[in-house]
Amino acid sequence: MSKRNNKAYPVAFIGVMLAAALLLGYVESLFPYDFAVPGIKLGLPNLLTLIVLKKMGIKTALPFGLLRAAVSNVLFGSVLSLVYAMAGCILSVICMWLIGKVKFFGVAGQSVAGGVAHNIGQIVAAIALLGTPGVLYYTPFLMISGAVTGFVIGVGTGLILERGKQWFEFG
Amino acid sequence: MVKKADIILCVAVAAVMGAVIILFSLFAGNGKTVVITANGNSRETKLSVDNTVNITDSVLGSNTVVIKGGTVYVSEADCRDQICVNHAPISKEGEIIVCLPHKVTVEIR
Repeated sequence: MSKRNNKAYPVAFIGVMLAAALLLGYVESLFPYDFAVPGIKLGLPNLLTLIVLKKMGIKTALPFGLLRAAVSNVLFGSVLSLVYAMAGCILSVICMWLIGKVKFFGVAGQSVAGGVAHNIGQIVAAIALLGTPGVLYYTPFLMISGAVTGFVIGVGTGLILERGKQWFEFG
Repeated sequence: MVKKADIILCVAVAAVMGAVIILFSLFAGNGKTVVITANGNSRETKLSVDNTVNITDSVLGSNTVVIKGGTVYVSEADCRDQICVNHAPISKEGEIIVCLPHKVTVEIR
């Protein structure tokens, strides 16, 4: 299989990425996050969302992220966690896409923006669902967590894209 | 792969937000009232009076809020994440304990 410019490859690629993202979502649901602030997590599945965004653009990455969030939360979360994940996902993919347009940022910066945006989306969803702006109190904690985990995930994504180059060349 | 701007972005966000947290904890006074919001209905009680409130408004589950010696904590909740129960007691203005699965918030004002 030398040239992967046929139409089936991107379809299969998205399928594999989605499966991997769901697996990472499951792995993440096993971690005991015993922080006082709800909403803090590593964001492992974002590795895959970022790869899809880099390789196939926002038109594929946004539905990919939403589909992943939907299936993952139905399987390992709850209806409420689904709403938070959706809000976070939309904002995060859009922010990562925008930062990707700025040349002096790399994958890590893109992921940092995504992490922070994801947590801002969650806060907005929480204000709407809980009916009180009091949850804004958590914003600084969540933004720090988003920046740090985003950076880690971004470095991971960079490594995967670099080491697995042969898998990501198509189109 | 990691550019200078990436590190600057990450550190800048963390530093600014860290400063916000420090400033907040320095200047936040002790609160006076406890505002419990469950499923959109809120009620207020005094922080200075020891009290135990059972919240059963939410069809999703129940929480028990304890006010003791000027601090507030959630002693029981029948949800699976138990984030609100593990939360440290709160006493300062603006602090909040949230139970996302039951749509319950306990706020100090």
